[in-house]
Amino acid sequence: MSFVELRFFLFAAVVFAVHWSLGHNDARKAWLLAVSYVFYGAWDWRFLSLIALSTGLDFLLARQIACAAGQRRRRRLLVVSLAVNLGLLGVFKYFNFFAASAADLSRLLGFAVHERSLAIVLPVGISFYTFQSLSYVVDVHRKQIAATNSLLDFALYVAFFPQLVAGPIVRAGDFLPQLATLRRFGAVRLRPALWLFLVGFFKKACVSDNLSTYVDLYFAAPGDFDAASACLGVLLYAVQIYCDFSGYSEMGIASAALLGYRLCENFRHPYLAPNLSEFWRRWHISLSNWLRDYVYVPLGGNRRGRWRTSANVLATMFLGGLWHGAAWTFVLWGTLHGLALIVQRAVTAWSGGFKRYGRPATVLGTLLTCQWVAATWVLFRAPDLRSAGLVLEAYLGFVSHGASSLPGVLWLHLACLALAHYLSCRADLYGWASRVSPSLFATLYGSSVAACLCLLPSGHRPFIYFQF
Amino acid sequence: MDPRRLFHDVEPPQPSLVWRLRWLGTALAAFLVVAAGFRAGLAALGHGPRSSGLDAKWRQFEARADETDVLFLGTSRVQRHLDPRRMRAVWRRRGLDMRSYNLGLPRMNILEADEILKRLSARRPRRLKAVVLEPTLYLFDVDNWYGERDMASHDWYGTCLAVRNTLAGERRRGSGRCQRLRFAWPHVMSFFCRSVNLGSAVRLVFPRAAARAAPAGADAHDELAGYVPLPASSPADGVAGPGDWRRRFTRFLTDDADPHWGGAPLSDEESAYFDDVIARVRDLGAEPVFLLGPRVKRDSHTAAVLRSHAQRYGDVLLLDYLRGRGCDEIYRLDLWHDFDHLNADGAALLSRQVAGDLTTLLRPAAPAALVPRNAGHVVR
Repeated sequence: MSFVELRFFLFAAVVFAVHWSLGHNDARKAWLLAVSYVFYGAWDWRFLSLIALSTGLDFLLARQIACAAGQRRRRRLLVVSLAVNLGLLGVFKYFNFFAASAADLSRLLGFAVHERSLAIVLPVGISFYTFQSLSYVVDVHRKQIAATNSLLDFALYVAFFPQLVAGPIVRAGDFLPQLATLRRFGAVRLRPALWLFLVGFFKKACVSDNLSTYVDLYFAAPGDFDAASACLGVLLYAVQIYCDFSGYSEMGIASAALLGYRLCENFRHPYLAPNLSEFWRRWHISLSNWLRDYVYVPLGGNRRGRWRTSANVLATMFLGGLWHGAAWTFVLWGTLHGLALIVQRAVTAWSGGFKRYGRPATVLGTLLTCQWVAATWVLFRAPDLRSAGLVLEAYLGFVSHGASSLPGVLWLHLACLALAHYLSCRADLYGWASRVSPSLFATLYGSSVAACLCLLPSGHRPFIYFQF
Repeated sequence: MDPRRLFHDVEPPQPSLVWRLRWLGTALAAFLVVAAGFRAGLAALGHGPRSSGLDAKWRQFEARADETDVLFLGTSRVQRHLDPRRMRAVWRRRGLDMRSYNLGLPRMNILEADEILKRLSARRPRRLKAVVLEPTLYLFDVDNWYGERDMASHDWYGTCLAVRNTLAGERRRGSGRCQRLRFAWPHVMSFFCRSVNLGSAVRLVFPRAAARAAPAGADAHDELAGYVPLPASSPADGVAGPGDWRRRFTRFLTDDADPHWGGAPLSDEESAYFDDVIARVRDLGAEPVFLLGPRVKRDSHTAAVLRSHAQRYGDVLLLDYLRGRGCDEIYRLDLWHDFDHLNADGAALLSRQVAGDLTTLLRPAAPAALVPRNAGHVVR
């Protein structure tokens, strides 16, 4: 079940109605946990056991850590949690990748090996809920938060359906306190929440899904297209992935808000970032913060000299790439971003940053950042490094490999979407939604829904980030 | 946006339920007005719901409509099984200068068949002598009701027809109320999607990208007069696992040597549909022919058609190639592509067989005498 399917709307209607009609906090939480498991089980109920295992184990280990007297015992318990969680992630997500890579390496060294692979289906959202559950244990270990005594609260924190399968990656310190009190319907700003859901829906269903037709066509045979289409294909994919993921996050945040719970922000106009480090503060914010707090800072962050800082950035981005997928294209994508961040640090240290050169330099910085990000997305989309090379050659070198072309009107679409991205940053749409009269909002909302439905493509396309 | 802005710092006074309902009504009214406006505007621009597959196939047929003597209508079991070129060769050898056209489409449902009959009535092909129709047309797809094609066929009349037939079919099969609703629901949803213009403006805003192989593919398609062959599947295809069709195929052939084709006849609603189809085909000056193509497994609808044919449609020629009813040479594993479809070799064999069986009907001598009205006439 995904947020753009009709059955989700039927599901949500029942969930919201029952949730707000229940008067007791524990009853509400039990209801939400049950429906979250139903939501997840709609993909594959067998993987519910994985969530249950991860939840039960981390709940017990966190309590043990909180009670443990010695530092050694606390650390040992933390290692058990890390080993089990990362072990599950390793088996389900990375086993075949590592097995194939080891076999390739052995063959390269001249050993004849028989490659083994397992027919493993990747459980939807495993990377998200594993990181979320892990962060709780680490936070308890660091004594940043107290271990919760309620298994119900912890299970709901891990499985809360608006963020279960594709984030945002919520921190226990933000979410568990919200579960302690009965949420009040009157505290929710309905209009901005409904508007946010519709904006997310529009981005995913009307923009991303429609653009995917062209992107799929181009990436299926990049060798057949001319240079202009290569540029279009790459830029459209950059728009597609942004609309897909930010749209999903916005629908998730709005759904949670309509249930009275606040999730964290996940996107903040990333394509308007003037440099790459700013881009990573605006793109998939919850993951960037997670990697910063649980990988980069523990490695030493920027406190141990320039070289060590660079190594830490590279290691963090490498892991960020690997988190996205078990393929060399993702690893290379993360590593390239890590290298670019190191270069950017060096240039900033040398020149004093873009800002001191005024607005034109900021605009130039934004364009360069966009260009870099769009070019590296190719590694995200291309099935292998060879195809990625072909696309990048066409995109960066403006080389035509073939004569086919994508419709030219898409350049106009691209310009409109860029303008919308810029204006949505400048205009306060959500503040406006609360300020206008309810009748006017209702009229505009009804009309916007009718317009969105006209642009809904037939057939269902899964969210890109589900695969991660 | 910052999710903190989705919550009030200080809870404001709540509006009354009446006001909330009023706003809901306003939103609903705005939705309906804008949807109606879009519908009118899109229709004026020629962007209403349409079945592009059916339209494309009809366009190809239209170019040959006046030279077609026999038209085949049905699902992929027709599209993949009947080769008009082979039939023409058979008819030539028998001294008949006849052509046929395969208007089969995968998952063709009764609404699309109805639409084709409507177009035929308007077009009235000059030489049309027979319309061979698969009376077991695909009626529903529980999981796929929001496609362009489903919406195109589900106008008010189509939805009523589909719901009526679905409910009647399920009642005949003895399904419970829940099951009946489960199968009727997708038709209602298709109608709803059509009413709210679901996806109607997509092609207006996002033009279709030219498919690279489309022109060549389209030509090849038309050269075969609508027939789309299936290759012989490799013996390695899907051998492992419970989904291995070969194992099922062999099991059905050995364990269930003669399937039982008895059962309840078609319901009144279903019979009314076929009465209408027969009348409309005859109104074109052609003769309707029912085709029950090769089928490994028994299904209740086919059994009902057989029973009804004996009881009610005796004056309609029935081409019967069901298992256990005489055409057993077609039930060889090497002639099948999957559990439901013959491969190109199997299709060649069946096409020759169908052409031969149709010859009696098509021979210009005295067709009325060969197919007497109100008398059971079953080939095979």
